Amino acid sequence: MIRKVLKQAVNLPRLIFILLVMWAGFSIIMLAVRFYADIRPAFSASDLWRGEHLIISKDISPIATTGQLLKRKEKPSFSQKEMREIESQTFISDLTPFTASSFKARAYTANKELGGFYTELFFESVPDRFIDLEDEDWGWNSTRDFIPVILPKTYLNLYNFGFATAQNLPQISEEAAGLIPFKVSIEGNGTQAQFEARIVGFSDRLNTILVPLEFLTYTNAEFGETNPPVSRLILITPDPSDTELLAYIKASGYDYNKEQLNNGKARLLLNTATVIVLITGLFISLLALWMFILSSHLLLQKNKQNIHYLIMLGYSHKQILRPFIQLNALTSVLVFGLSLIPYFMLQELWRSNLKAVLSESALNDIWVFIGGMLLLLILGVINILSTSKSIKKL
Amino acid sequence: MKIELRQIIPSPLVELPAEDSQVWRRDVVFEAGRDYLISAASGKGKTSLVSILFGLRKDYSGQVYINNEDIRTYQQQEWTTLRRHTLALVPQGLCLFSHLSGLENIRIKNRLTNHYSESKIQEYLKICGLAEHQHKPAGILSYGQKQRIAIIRALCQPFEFIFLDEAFSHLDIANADIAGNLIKTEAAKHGAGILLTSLSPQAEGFETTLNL
Repeated sequence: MIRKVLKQAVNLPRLIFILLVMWAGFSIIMLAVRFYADIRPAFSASDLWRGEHLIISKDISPIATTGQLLKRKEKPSFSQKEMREIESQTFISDLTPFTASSFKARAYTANKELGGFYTELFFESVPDRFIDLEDEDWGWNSTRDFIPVILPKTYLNLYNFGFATAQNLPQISEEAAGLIPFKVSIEGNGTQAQFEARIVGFSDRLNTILVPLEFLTYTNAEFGETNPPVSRLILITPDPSDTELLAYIKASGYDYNKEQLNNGKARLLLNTATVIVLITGLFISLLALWMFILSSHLLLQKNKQNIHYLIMLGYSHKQILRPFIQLNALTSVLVFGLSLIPYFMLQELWRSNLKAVLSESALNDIWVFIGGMLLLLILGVINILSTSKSIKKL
Repeated sequence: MKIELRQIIPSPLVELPAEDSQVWRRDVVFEAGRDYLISAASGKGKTSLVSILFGLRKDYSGQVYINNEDIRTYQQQEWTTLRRHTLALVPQGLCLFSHLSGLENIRIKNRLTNHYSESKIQEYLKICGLAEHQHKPAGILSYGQKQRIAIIRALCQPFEFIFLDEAFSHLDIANADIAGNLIKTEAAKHGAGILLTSLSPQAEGFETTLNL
């Protein structure tokens, strides 16, 4: 009945226009979130490293090589003083040296299918807090003769697409590689030891053979030197493409992985683009909210007399507010429902176009929907509160 | 129920000479179960008085007590309750929704109180000679017809006092009698008081006449 009293002043075209603007803004927000969640993993695919990081080393010049060949010069390494200085920079939140192995090591298998594999190798280690790997085999103590190993993915590719093809050996998947046990023999300081080993993970970004730090600390002490020179550092930084950071690295004459930096830049670009789109969507939504509020106020003003009559008859403010709440709820449901159309259509579009680079997104649609509903609810509450306030003021 | 006026005067009427009025700046008591005629020429504040008693205006000095409570202390919620259960009003402007039919105008009040059945409403419409006009938009009814709609609407609630602000001004004697009797019957049923404002100095059957 109240609705019938107030309806006379409703301007349907205006309401539809507001609905469309709200729909546009809301769809943009939902799509931006979905797109970001879908694309983001492609920029940080399967990596074992915690946080944003950058690996730096000392620049190796031809002169340095010659110097080393003539045994006149030490290998370039980071001194404690240098490390302290780097760590004190504001754009570095954490830093650790790579601990390198200082002994001879060999890996071999006696597997007939793989043709008896044998190689000389080296190890490096960083503290566990830099590694994001959930494998119960990771870790080491002196009672174990088993070593978990993390390999760069490029090694596997090198084997699969180069070596295996040329030697007519079977190609090995990541999972299968993890199942192959091999042996590691270590020699130095006049002694020797054997260990069982297994690959527990592959890293996309790092070109080294990683073992637990406890293992390397022990073996370096037993078979090599306790504190081998540090040739590489891993830096944890909020933003690896920070220009200040890069300028500092360049000025200090250090070398870094440029490809990794491009990835960081692309990610930064994606983040920025997403934020811009989100702000645009939010802006449009707020504009729609503002129009909605304005339109409600107009409706109230046009109905000012009718509302006075209703109050005179004994209608409460709450009862008068109710049709406005209903209108808002209806609008929200329509906006939400309609936004599912572009949401699913455009999602299909980019998913089919970018199939090659996309992996399974961690963000379920349900969360996008719940977030969207929350947003609509908040906007609705703002609208209703504002309307309620102006009813009381009438 | 008892309504007490203590020295009230609406702000716009402050200039008015005091001694002329039997209501303004006086102590007056209205009691339920009795009938009061407030008689005055235009501009003496008849509607202002009704609006003050009904909580629609607050620009007055002095105090009004309903059952010994100062009505200035009432919140909106309390007025809402009073207007549903205790105080009925036929406003001078009638305050009908012109795009709703006569019947809908009555229903919109009755929905709030569930006081009458649909058939009772129909009976009243018939008594007042409005049965065939009930579905017309209130805006196109004559003023007399509108007044009767507003009167029936006002009766769609329990009340202890009914304020009639020149409610019979556009009714002929026959129709005024019909409407008047209807109100009196209802008021008697509730043991309620009637407060009628009018331009004329007397009205049949009203015990107390006060000149504004």
